[in-house]
Amino acid sequence: MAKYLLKRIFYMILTLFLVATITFFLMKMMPGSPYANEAKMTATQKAIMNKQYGLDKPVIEQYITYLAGAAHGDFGISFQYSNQPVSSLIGARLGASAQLGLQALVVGIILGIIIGSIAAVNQGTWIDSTATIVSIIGKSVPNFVLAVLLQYYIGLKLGWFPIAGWGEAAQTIMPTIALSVGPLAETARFIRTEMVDTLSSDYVELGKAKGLSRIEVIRKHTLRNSMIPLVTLIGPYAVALMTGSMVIENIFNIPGIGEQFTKSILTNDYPTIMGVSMVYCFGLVVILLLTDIVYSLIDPRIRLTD
Amino acid sequence: MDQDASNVKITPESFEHVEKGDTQSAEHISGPSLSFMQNVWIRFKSNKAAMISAVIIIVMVVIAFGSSFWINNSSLVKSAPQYANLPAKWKGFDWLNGLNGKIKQNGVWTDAYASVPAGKYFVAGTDYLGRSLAQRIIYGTKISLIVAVVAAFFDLAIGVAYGIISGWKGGMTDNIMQRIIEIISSVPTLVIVVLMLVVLKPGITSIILALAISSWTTMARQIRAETLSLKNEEYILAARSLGESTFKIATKHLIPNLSSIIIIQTMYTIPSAIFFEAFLSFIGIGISAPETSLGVLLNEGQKNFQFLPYQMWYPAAVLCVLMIAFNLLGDGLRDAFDPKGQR
Repeated sequence: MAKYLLKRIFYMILTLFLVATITFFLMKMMPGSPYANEAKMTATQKAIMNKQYGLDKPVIEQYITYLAGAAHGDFGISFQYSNQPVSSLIGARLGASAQLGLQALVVGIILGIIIGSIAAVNQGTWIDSTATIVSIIGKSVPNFVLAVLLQYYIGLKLGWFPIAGWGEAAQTIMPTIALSVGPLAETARFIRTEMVDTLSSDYVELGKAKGLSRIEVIRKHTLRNSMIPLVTLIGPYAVALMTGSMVIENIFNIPGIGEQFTKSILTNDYPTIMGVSMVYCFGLVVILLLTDIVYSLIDPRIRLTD
Repeated sequence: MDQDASNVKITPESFEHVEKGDTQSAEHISGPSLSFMQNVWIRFKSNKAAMISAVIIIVMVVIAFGSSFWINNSSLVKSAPQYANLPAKWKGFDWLNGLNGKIKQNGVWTDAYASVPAGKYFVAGTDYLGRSLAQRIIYGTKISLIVAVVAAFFDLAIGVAYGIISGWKGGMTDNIMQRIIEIISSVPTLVIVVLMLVVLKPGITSIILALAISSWTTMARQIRAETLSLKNEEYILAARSLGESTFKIATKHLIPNLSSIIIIQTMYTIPSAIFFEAFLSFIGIGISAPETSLGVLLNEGQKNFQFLPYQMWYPAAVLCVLMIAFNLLGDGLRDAFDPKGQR
């Protein structure tokens, strides 16, 4: 286990190093500069600007400075917001995104488990078909379409929840719903398949034969065992939530990383793009490692070796 | 029962002569012999949802691509401000609000076509520049489909080649190739796509490239796993001992046996590519005006959603139907190819 973890951490660092390197040189290759449009700048002014952002040094030196900074979370200074370090720009927005992502994940997984298990227990009935239809629609309808519809019909027409913004608990409800639909649909499908399998396994038959009640068989033997492999889906969910947050945060005007990412892309704010990319990559590799460890802890049959 | 067993006399008359058995009829196969693909087709046909989805997709593809003769980008960029923001109007639907050219303003249905010459109508209304929304949706669907299908094709080509090479070569090559996949797949797709789009000029080509580069790893992994088991099959051994070249073994023996994985995986790649294109164009970093795609239409429709909801509803509906159809088709194909597998 310790050897496996060391190896995994080595690959994590290698991944992050490669991403940092590739993003750095990609951004260096980009034509134009952050102030290409400021036509009225004299050569001296440009030189001063270059010096301020460290753009006058050789590329290799810039690269080493960047790597050294990135290693402890310093991604340089934003092109867009002068004098604002990228790290503090991201840091200020991390909370909102993390909260939204976590809420959506929890809501999606819990509702998904409920819908999926109800469908599995009532396999072949209209309840099952309804759940299947719900999960297909949930999987197919893009979350940003749903977000716009929620915002207009629930937020504006019915006025149940605030239309946009961030801060109060009520403002988090609609974005959470919009983001959670993807994980919900996926979880429901997954749990249903797993439970249908488990329901026909020998130990469930034994439980029934021993005279356990239906509820007990489902709760203790079926659902618990079906939920274990769900851990492996958390990585893909995290990826989907990162993608989703980018557009959901824009629609609901939430000051999160996703919204910042979109802004930075549209304004060619390279340091911020690189910083946010690194934060996303870091988040994902950590989540993947954690889910692997958790999986081996809750299911002793899984051994963390090659 | 009380008869003693020793009293039973067995004489030749005790036996009855039976005609020689008709082994032929016992071994008779009543059903027609079916090939693998025929079986797949029978299973697929019985799945109503998948069949309907297939029909919907075919109809949409035919409309989207068949319209190329009438609808092209040069006619679509022409604006006609006198027809701007007209709602949908259908002939003979005067009684149905929503299809009679009336629009709700301050709670009252008013005729938006009052200043438009009689006989001129748009089945899905017009956008803010007076361009027919129906035409733009059809054209946008075409672009979205092209992006998705071409991206899926590249994804397939890279993934299949990579997976076969990795699985076939084995050893060190496989090890290195798998580590590369591990590294790539622990980078979020979003980051790869965004970096590609930042470096390349936003547009159809770069979206296709970005999607293909970021999504081939799943295909490569599945193909490798299957190649690993196929390579120990006897017919592969036979082909090798007969001196068949590796390339020929791959194309003649491996790929046909991998076809079900390839088809299923491609069917799942297409809707995710459609989603990604719409998503990127929606936030404004994918395809942008004057080019049109479903994402661009959603982006434009969203701006006026409060007053002209139809401008978002129609493209959204088309996008959702397309996504649902592709997902159901993918599920149907998976069940048809692999009836024992997970459902």
